Amino acid sequence: MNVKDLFYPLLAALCYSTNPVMVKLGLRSSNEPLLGAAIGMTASTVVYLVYFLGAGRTRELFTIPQWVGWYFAASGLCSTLGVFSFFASLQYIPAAVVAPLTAAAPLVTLILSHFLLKEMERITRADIVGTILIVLGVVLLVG
Amino acid sequence: MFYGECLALTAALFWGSIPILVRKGLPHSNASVAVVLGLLASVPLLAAVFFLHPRWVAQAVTPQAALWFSACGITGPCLGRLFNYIGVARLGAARATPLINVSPLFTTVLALVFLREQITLKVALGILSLVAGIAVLTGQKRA
Repeated sequence: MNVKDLFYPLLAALCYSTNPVMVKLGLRSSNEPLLGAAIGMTASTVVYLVYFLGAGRTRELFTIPQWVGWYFAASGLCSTLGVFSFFASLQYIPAAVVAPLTAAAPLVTLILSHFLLKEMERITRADIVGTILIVLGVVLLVG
Repeated sequence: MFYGECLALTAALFWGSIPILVRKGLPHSNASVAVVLGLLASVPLLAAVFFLHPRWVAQAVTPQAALWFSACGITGPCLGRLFNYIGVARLGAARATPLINVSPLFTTVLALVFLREQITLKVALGILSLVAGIAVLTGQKRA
């Protein structure tokens, strides 16, 4: 694997790593987690739309096959519904139990990749071992 | 009975499905379009949260908290998601997703360095497992 390929996933991880701190700071003055998540997503939608439209990329939205648009829309819905399920779970069990369970997401991706992305990706033994080690590491850190 | 656990696992299922949907569509488009359509698809859900919440948002959330939540939205669903999708496009869903999920490693290291938190055996094992996972995933030749 090229070292340059690591840049984007790790940059994404770095962006996500700042979220718990900012959420904690926000919740300190207003204990409204669901509204907080909705405000965050609204802000991201506005900022990204301004960038996308400002960069004159509107045409790109209409040049993709319709089914691709539905897949991308479904990915966004999955993200938001995931956040709602996450907050709903916190009503029943403590965060220390929720966090390790949600850390299983890469395992879900690994299993679904094997069945649904057969023609695009070949899952290796190293992929399985690496994913399990990372999930285990996250469980130890957040559990 | 187990409502909380089921909801947390539902969140993992939703989040784990995202890279699959994005990976299927990306060869026909790009990460930026995926982010825009994903964010737009969630607008009705966000509107529902704002309208169904028992208190009006301006009464429930202080401006300072709104600022933190917005910042979180910009680094998470905005920038984080863009880099996440570029990572999926370059490395594939199964390989990029665990790498993106190492964000607790950054959070922990930041807490150790800046907040001078004590390193426990559990945290040390977690870091070790994450680093080993990254090494295993990235050490292999491209499939």
